[in-house]
Amino acid sequence: MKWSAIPYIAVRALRRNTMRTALTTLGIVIGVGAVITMVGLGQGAGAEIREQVNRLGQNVVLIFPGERSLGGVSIGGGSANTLTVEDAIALRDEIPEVVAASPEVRSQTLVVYGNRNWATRVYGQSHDYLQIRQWPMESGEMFTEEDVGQRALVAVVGQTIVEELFEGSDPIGETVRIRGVPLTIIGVLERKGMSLMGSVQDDIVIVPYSTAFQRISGRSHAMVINVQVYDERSMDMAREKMTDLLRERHRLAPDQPNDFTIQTQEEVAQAATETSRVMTFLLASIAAVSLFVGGIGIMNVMLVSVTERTQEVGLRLSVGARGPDVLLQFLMEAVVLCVLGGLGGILIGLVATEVIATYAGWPALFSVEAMLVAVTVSAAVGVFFGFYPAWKASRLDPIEALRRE
Amino acid sequence: MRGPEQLRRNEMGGPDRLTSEDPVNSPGRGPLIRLQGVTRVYRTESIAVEALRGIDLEVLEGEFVAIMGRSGSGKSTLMNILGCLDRPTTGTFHLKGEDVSTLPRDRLAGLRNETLGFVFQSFHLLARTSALENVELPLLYRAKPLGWKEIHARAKKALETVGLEDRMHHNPNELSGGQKQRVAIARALVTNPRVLLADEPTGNLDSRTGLEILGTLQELNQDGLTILMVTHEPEIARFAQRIVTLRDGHIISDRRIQPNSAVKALGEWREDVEGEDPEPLGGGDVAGRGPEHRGGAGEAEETENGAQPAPVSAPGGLS
Repeated sequence: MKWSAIPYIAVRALRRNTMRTALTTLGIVIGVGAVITMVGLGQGAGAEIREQVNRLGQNVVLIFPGERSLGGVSIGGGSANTLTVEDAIALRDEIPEVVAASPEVRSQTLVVYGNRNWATRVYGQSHDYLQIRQWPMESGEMFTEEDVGQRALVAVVGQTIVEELFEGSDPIGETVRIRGVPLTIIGVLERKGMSLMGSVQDDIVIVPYSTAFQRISGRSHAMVINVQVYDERSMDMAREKMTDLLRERHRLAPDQPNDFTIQTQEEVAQAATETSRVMTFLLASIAAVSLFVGGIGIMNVMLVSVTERTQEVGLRLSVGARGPDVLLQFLMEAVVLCVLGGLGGILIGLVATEVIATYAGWPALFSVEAMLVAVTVSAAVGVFFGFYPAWKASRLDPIEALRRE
Repeated sequence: MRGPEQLRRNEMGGPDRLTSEDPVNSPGRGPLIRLQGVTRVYRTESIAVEALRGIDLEVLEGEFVAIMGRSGSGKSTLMNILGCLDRPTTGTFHLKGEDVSTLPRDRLAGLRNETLGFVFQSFHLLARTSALENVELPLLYRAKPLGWKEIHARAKKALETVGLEDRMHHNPNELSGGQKQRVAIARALVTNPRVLLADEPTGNLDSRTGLEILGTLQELNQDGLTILMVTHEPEIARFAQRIVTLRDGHIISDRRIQPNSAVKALGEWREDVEGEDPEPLGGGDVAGRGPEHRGGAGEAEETENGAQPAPVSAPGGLS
């Protein structure tokens, strides 16, 4: 048989019934479109999470008070009071792999400047916190180790504070009040964007942890200790040493569990991406079901088409078509239907992803692989669901088929 | 529409067909078709129907044979076997000297494609497909595919043979019944077959168009093409050289006749119409089958034949 005639015959047959072709294809269009959209949004979310984890800083380890499992990961502080400022200093001074350690204490409070005020988070940190977070300054300077030692009344602020309290004008040298404590602004941070939890990281005031403990939060223990390790290879070693050191400092007997949790950046990332992966998988499964339903529609229409065109099949057989020729012809029709649907689905999917991403403010990612997979899968759907009708057509007896009305 | 007298010579089935390299198939060297003791039994769960009960038949290259019989006589079954659409229950069928009675489905399909051409009562043209593409159809299924240029060229030539080169790009619903049957004949001829099988080729046509189609078949036969035509109308069979009559699955007569000339009959028919004769076909050939009595099985088909070459509207035809 002439191979190049097969797609031509298929397209001709489909064009003879444009409306039916369009409606049949719609099932596949919706199925593929849904898959593309879900995978696109899911991948976008995954990429965003990875990006945010990277923004966390380099080779960062977080130490939380209390025993916590990976599944219930939270970057917020625990309630247990087991981590002290001295722990942080010991980690930095006694473990060679640890480059920096910052005991963190947070409070949600109002910042007042003149007749304006703004509710924000005030962080108590050490002088090397910005190094841990890889967070550069836009202007001014970070407070020093001496400032921490002297409980200096200084603060470094994020972009949101500059916008809300100072309406964009330079805040350096100005004094704000937090819980009645006057703090002089000595530096402004660069814009950092959203955090893993979706909060605006630029809505921040950083003060020396000593100042925060004594004058602002009223707490005596660190909520988190942010630790930076020398490099990625020393991570496991550092983790072991930190565990030993903290157990020793907390005087834990060998049979007692840790009263702290060490989490690497990688683990935080895993926990966060795991959630988005599960969501993506669930959504993509639902989309796959609609693709399957679309495939059943193809099968149904192909069966009707074979019945309608029994005479045509009879004629083709009588002029010399073999069973496999007829099989291929109908199979090709189903595949063309599905591939058309696949292409339409990609188009719809891209538009839908873009629209959802724009309106919901989520990131969207278009991957060429997802599109290739979509077209391949839809062609496979065509072969799978088109095979039975095509096989039925190829088994027709030419005499019977010619006689059928 | 062209009358048969205007038909071109069949360039494809010309005398060169007879100088075939296969000696068995040359006339006088052996029959093109030989059936020996062919039976065909249709079995259902409870009953067995014997459609053919022992047929012996030989057809030589270049013959024009009419197979006659009433419905139920087995002529359609015989035609199906001759057309390699069906296989005999017992007995042998030699085509071109080769026993084809036990060939598998796909080999039979190959024979239908290369050696046989079919013309059906109800045309069986693909709807919404141009005449040219309808004619190209068998070439698409050739075992050794041709290039597209060659396919178009051969289909065009076949349409020229039946005088329809100016209707090439028309769809079947834009063609009259006679034109449709001509397209079907072109489709049968395009593979350069050895045998043309025509199953009631005039059954859906009015008598004048029927005569024109018979004229085409006679022309093709004169150029050397072997033709087997099934009909239940004796007056149609009389245009063949040989009439084989079946009854109850047996051949009850097999005689050679001096065939009527379709060209002549058409001429007489014209004279009759012009001479205000209510019986349009003189010579008794199709007596009592004036155009206005036509129809029957073909009525439904003819409703879409917009351009009936209407004898009914001929002057005096209905007066």
